[in-house]
Amino acid sequence: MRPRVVVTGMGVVSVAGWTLDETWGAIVEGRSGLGTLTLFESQRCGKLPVGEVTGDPAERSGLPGGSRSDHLAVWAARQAWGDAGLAEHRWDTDRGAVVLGALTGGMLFTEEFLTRLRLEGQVDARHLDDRACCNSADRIAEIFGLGGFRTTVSNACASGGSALGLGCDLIEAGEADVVLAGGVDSLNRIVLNGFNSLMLVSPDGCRPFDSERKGMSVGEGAGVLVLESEEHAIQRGARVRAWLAGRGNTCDAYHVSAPQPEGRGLCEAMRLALAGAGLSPSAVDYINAHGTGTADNDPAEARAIRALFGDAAPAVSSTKRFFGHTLAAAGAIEAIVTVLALEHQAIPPNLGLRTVDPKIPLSPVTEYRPAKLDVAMSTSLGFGGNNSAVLFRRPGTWEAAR
Amino acid sequence: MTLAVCAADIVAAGSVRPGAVPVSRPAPAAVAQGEWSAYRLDKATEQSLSPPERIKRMGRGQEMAIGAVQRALDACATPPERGSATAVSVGTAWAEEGDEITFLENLIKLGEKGAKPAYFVNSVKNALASQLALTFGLQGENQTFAHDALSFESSLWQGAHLLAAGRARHAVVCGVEALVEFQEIHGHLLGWYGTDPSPLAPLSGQERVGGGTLPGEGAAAFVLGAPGSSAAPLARLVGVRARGPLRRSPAIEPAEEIAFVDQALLAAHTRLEDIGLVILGANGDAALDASYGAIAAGLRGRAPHLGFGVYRHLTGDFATASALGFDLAVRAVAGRRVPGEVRVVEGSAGSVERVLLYHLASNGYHSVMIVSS
Repeated sequence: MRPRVVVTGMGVVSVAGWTLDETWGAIVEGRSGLGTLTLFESQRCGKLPVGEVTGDPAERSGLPGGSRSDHLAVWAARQAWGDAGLAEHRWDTDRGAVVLGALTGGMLFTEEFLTRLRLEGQVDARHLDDRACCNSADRIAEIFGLGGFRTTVSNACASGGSALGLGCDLIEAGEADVVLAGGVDSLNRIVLNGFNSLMLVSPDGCRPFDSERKGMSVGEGAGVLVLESEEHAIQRGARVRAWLAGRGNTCDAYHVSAPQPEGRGLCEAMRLALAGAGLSPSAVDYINAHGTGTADNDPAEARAIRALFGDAAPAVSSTKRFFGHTLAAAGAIEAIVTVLALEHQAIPPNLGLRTVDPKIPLSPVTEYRPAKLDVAMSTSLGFGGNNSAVLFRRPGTWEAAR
Repeated sequence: MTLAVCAADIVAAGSVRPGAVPVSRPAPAAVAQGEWSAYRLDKATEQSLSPPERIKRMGRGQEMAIGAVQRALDACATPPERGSATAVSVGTAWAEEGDEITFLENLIKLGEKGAKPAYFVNSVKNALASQLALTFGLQGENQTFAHDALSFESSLWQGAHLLAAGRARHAVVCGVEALVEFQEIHGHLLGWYGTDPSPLAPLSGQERVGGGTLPGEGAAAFVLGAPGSSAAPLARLVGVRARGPLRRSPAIEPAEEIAFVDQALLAAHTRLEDIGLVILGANGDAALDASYGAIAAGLRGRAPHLGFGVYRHLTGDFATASALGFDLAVRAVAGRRVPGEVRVVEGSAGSVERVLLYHLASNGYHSVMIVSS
């Protein structure tokens, strides 16, 4: 029998807040963090609202050196580590693994190096060794002395969700007892200009599922969850925040950047997550949707949900307007929001939604709303047709299934 | 602890290798004088990867991955089915970095109006895995691992795990790296690469002028099936163990490395005595070769029958070169003899029913992969 994988700790940072409490506070208050770009100058993108983390991530992380992504990831990991109480228990850290989703790593360093080289003829190699996207996972493993496996998953904007799935794989295969899993990305010129060149960035902030939506808003941040075998968590007396009961990962094999219009791949990912959890669609109370606010993503995702859940779709909302699209971190941050929704028994609002696009066969929740939630899902879609779905259950709801 | 015992049949393999001799090109004037050498794909191989009927422009990494996978699929008696039953798992440290740097160079030279969407889309690291899915119609789980010298090993473990968990009937696993100038700049400035243009001769005792190694590129792909699913598999994967250090730039301790190998053997239920050939990732860099030499001597002290071979004189040095080493190990087991390209540096490798690959990077990443007949 597969070991159950439970969530015993969480840490998050985004423009919505440096902690779980601040993040949930923003959600309760319906406060978008989208604001002005200050991290670097940009003639074309400088006025686009972005989810730039305010304050100095290096001060929080306590990490000497490293990239902005490294600092964000380490800060989220420190919170998760503390939240799980892992320092207070004796356990075999050689059975502790790290799986992080990351896309761009220390891209700001690459940009800085090339700019100086090409425009000034200066060769400044100081930060070259910190540019790889795998460094964040390495730093986390080093800080906490985790001697088990570590890897970096780079499945575009589905990376965070995929990393959680891989963390479950490691625990279920008996390769690890504890996995720090999540995702990270920081703002940089390539990402902002890249999405803008595709005309995917909204000039007035993302409005997922809205009839007048004009695109996404780029953000940055990190989310780390402590995944643990239920047996290990019980043995050390850890508080269980949720059960990661199912996950699915699929590929559309349809287009390099656009989702399959009917959302078939995502629908299959959600179906796999439900099957893994042994649940039927009717058991799901809430879906935290990827909901980027782009023309293609939102209808495809809505159709996928409609195809699987029919007329009885659960409550749905996208929380992208709170923190922007944080790329590889998105799946992890939104998984954390999903677990917080289960804990607080409330549905986060789909901020920015005024009138639902007629092409969207859903009615996303627009106001913060208390609700009875036992089972909730988080979805992610990425370039290349990558889809991910992770499904959580609230503690106390699975004893009957034991 | 281990990342081990995920048995899988290796049904077919295919690779795209660089030319056998390093090619020299002028170093970028803004960075260095003279020439830099690297193992690069030769012109004929490049052209074979870009058939004229292919309309869409792809990056070199995508072309190399598709080329290697196509060769592996061509070698399958019964190709894996299209659709959701076949997973794709790709290991690549830098993916399509050439397009990423082109995008950035355009931004720098032309301003933000120079941002070209196609380069951006290709710059996303899963562009390779998703292009494989698109090209071959594979809709199963699709993963890209980008963790330096652990990338291919991660993809191999994941592919085998999906089979063990019953989440795929086949997994297409690929390790790939396309060398671009920026990586050469990076590696030269950090002292990884030397300027000696002569071919690498790992563990030969030949000192390279100025030290360092030479960069390379290539791709290798494998079709994995669940154990027993194929009538005539090439080999069986019996263990993968990969790990990173707990601090940056650690001192390499041979005794600890041998213990690491022992743990991998234990997890794979294999004894050192059962191994015939050890393939090492030694890359000609004097310091790293010395570590490999000490570790090999320690293993040989316990198992004098062991033969030791190297392969980076064929590939140059890159993060996922271990995929090409794995390809040679699979071929050794399949053919029951050491492939001619593998340079045996110690012992005679009489039996190659089981081959162990050991890789160690100067940053402390290390891995063991074991294949058996």
